[in-house]
Amino acid sequence: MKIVIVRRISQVFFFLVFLWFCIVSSLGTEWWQLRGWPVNWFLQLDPLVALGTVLTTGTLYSGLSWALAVLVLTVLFGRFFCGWVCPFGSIHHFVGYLGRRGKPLSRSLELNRPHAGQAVKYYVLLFLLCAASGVLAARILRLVFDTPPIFLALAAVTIVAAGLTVRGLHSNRRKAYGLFLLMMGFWTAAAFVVPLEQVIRSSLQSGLLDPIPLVYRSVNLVLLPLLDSSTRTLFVGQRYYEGAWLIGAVFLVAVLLNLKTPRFYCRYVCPLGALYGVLARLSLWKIGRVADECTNCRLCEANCEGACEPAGRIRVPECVLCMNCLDECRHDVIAYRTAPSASGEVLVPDMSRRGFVLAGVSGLAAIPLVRLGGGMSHSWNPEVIRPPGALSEADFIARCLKCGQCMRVCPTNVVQPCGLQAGLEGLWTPVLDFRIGTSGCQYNCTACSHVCPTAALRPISLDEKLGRGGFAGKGPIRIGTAFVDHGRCLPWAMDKPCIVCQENCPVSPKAIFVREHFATVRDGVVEVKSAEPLSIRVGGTVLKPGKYAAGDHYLKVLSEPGHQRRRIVANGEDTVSLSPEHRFAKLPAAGTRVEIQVRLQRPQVDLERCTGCGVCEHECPVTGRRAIRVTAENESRTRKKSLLL
Amino acid sequence: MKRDSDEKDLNRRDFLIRSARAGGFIAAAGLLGYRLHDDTGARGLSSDEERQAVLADYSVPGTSRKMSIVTGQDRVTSVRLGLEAIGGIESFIKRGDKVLIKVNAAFATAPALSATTDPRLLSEVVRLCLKAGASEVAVTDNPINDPQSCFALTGIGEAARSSGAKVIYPKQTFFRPVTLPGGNLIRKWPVLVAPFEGVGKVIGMAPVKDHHRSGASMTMKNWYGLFGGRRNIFHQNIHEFIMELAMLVKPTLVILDGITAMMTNGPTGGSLADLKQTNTLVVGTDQVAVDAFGATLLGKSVHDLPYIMKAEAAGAGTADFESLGPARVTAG
Amino acid sequence: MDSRPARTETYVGLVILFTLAVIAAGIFLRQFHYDAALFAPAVPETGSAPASASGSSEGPDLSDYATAGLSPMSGVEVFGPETLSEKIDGKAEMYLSSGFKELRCRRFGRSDRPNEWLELFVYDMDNPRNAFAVFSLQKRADAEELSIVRFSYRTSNALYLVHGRHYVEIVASVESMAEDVLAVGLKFIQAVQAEGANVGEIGLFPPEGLDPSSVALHVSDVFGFNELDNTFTASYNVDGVTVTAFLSRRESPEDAARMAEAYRRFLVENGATVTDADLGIEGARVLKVFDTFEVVFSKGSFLAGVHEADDGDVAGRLAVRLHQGIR
Repeated sequence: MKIVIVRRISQVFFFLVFLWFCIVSSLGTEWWQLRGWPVNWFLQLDPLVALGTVLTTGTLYSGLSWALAVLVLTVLFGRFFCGWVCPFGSIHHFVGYLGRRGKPLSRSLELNRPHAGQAVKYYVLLFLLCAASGVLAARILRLVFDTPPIFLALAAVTIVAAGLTVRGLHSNRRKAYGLFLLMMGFWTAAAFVVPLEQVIRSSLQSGLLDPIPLVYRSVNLVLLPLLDSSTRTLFVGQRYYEGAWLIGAVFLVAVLLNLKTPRFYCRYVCPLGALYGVLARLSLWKIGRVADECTNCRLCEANCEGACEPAGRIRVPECVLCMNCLDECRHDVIAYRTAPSASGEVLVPDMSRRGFVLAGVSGLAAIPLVRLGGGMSHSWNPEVIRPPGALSEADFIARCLKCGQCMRVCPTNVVQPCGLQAGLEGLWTPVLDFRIGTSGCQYNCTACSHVCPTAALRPISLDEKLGRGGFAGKGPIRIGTAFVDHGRCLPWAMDKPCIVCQENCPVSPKAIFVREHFATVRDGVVEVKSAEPLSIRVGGTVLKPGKYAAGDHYLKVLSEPGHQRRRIVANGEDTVSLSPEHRFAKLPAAGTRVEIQVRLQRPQVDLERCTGCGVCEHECPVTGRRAIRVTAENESRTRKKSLLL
Repeated sequence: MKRDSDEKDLNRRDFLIRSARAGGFIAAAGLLGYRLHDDTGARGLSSDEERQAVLADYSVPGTSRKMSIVTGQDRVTSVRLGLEAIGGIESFIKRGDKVLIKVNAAFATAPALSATTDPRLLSEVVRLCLKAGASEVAVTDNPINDPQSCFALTGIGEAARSSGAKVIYPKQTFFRPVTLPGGNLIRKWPVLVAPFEGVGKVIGMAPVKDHHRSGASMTMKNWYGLFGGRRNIFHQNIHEFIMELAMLVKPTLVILDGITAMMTNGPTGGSLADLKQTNTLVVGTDQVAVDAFGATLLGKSVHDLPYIMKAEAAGAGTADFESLGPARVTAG
Repeated sequence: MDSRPARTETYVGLVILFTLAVIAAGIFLRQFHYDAALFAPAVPETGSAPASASGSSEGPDLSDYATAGLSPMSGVEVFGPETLSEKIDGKAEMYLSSGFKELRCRRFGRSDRPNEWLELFVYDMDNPRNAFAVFSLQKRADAEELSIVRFSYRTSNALYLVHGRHYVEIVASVESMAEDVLAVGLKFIQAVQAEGANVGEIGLFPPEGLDPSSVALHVSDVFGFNELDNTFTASYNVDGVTVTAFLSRRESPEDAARMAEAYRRFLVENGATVTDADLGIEGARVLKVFDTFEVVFSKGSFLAGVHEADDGDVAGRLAVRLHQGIR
């Protein structure tokens, strides 16, 4: 059996497994629903996710230990993940194959030649890792400055190095200058970084370009809802995701670029591939030429996926183990073995020092730059409502992969990819939008918190979410608070009875209570012309028949003391009929002024009970800008937003 | 032949070196993964980094029931007389002490409006502390308005500097979470504790003011100005909060400036019509007693200010100031 | 030359394919293991309000009545008079007016079949008569009478019975659990000591034309008259017409006569007129209430009559038979 066949089988296998995981990520216990399917497995296998979260949080969360297995295999065998496992890579491989079918060999060779742009993905990786390292770097520097022996030692080394350089005693002038510059750079960075400690935080932005979160996001939030809109098998209703156009566009562009150059994304952009490439110098088994006897037919490079030049000095960091070269070679010159290639090999990624420094520094500086906007601290956006179980914002941004699993699993479709509302760092992180979903955040549901691969949404028990059992003292998890808009609410502003929000509030006792209020309707003051025990005839106005018959309207005789109001059961153009239990004991005289009033139950939010679940906002009949809206005040995860003591 | 075997040796050595390196990497990665493993997602949170702080007891032993009430029109002479009447500044400030003065610089208003600590009074107190041998005197507050404008417009900044004290502005890094043992409200709340580092004596200086929410703002409420975060929230339970303030901060001395009292529209006031010349200044070590007396200047009783009785019940002092036998002095 | 590399290649290929198969198997096995609690809707563990007014959580947790194979799927819920409506909403009214004391309920099921469960409701109605009252007032249409205890019936997915002071309902989520429902009911009956309901009045209804399963006990506010309580009603089929008879044991003959008078007066106040029909029964009156007929009389310590009959003659004849039956 040829190894390329096995490779293709492997790619198809993992792609199908990935697709299956995407399909079953619906809440439920049927075989085609979530059950115990390990739907996050690809994210857990991803070493960039593991490394990123280790840098930002200093911990390796539970399932991410799978990444160690991948790292071990990569160190042994090379970039097998890219060529054999990665579902995104398989898409690129396939589209690239379609793109170069029918093209002549010379064109193929041209497309697969190593390109300077392949260095870009290493810069991308470095940028992302440095953006994630802010706190770690600050901590190390602080450690240096707080520990006198280390501080003094470094200062001594600097002085000695400076002295030697100046005196010219060091034999290797260049090395001395380099060392001197490094020291100066260190002290400058320290002076720069240490006082900025407040602004420096770590931000996990690898999810933007890391292929595994990217492909999960694209399939779950764009492809599946599109495909299902006609078949209606996966979802009961149409799933909507705000800003899906951008996610889809990124995906489409990445895929279509393969028509221009095969595996464009893998070669030029992918930071995960770059991470594997960096480990290439350690790999034990590699592709290489067995002997120098080669006819230079270059057939091996016709279908080289990694653009790694197996015919010449093979660039091991670029090789994705597609095995096409091995397969194509007619002379058995290419082999996969532990010995280095006979025609030489490059073990280190092709990066320029300038590019390295630029990528690193800009990564370190980017996050403080973005944080200056104050969005993380003082001018936080109240429209950003995070799912229950979310950590406080800084910790959340340090963990969120923007993989979209929480958005996929949410049964009511309220978890949405954020735009720029939460700042640049918040792009595609989960926020709740209660208008777009089919309900609010369900009272009994904790699905999103259990599906998050990095615990940016910490897994919470139902007891913790509802504030029951062991959590009764702490109270329920609040994700925000509902505020009634008195200018838009029907009973508050429009004299129209409505208690939809109160009825739908799922908390017990309800977090919305009503206060009764009677208001005289427009043109509701009329004069009695004649009266009977159960009805009166009015003059002066023409009433709309049936308008006051719904049971919400009452008749108030102005001269009667107190709150005597009589319920109206029917009305004609000039008659008003009362309910039997409110019959007139003493008939009002002709000429008596009476008022037709509407009974309004005006909703009020009980701050101590409202959890911000958004069901009220969803159900509110004022469907544009809702008359009761949830904003992030009083959310449990951030002490400083609390409204209550 | 020999070249082949040489090559094989080379390859083997190369392989062994690379295996060793690979093995080392795997071991390091494995070890790191093991050490950093977190099952619950509850580790590695930024809130873990904040170390809690505790405020010490700054009262001088044996001075707990001292109080003097000075009637006079000039603050400088009044405070001098007041301090002499309770044993002189030397019984409180010793040579080499680092002193912290917590003033009221809450609003960026002119001193004449009496919403903040009077700068002349501050200068005198600083001067007396330095005369008693204090090594350093610092002045601090976390104002409601912008700190720079507050210290400037109230004259407090200039008064401090010109008399030899330094002003500590409330920087964000100066706040640490503080919990009052047994407290309900003060739990892990950011408090301005950095100025307290190394300090041996704490003096609270507050003007007598009416307050819309709590009834009055005097020496106990003065410590509110040490709190950071969204401290407005404590207004929801203001009396219990002021009680906890009195339990949290145990100063060496408090000075209540009632020379000009803000009778209405406190705490901001804003009009000279809100003020009344009550010509009284109180110095004492029992902030509850001092406040209880201060209430009388505003025409209120301790029962109009529930926090006073709460503080007494909590053991922070006594509301019956007469029982302390306060010295009554008249400045000329 | 070709075969050796091909052989290694094949071996390696097979090993890899085997690994893929192992991975597939692993994934398949993994999906069986999940925390069912995450997928089932929450059930409150105790009555919602923590205040003691809602009923204490001390007392039986009903797990004793789970039969083999069934296990509790949630904690026991306890509801008192203040909180009963939170569980059964509008139906609470009927229980509350019939002397309701406490409801304990719990769900049972099999862990491997989370969609199939049954819920056991045990209503403590304070005495057997009250339990019979709520049992009789909500007989389901498709009831199949049972004889496991004196008052019991079942429907396609539920069992309803009276046992001592308890009114018990066992409702299953699927019809296939009918066996389990019956088993749990039987276990309850065996486990709990109970006295029979003192409902001797039932025997006083003349049997001819009586629909035995229609006998119901109204504990309070009978026929909208707040003074009348403790009344049995029964449906009869007389000459193809459905008529309802009622009777109520009062304290004494004087009390019965007084109640009859009071009830008649109540009817008149609400628009009824006394007809001059004479049934030959002492003290009996036939009243016309709008378009129905009401017969009211007392005999001995009993108040009895016919309620809201469409046909005055039929009502009269039934009343006579009823009168004869009462001793």
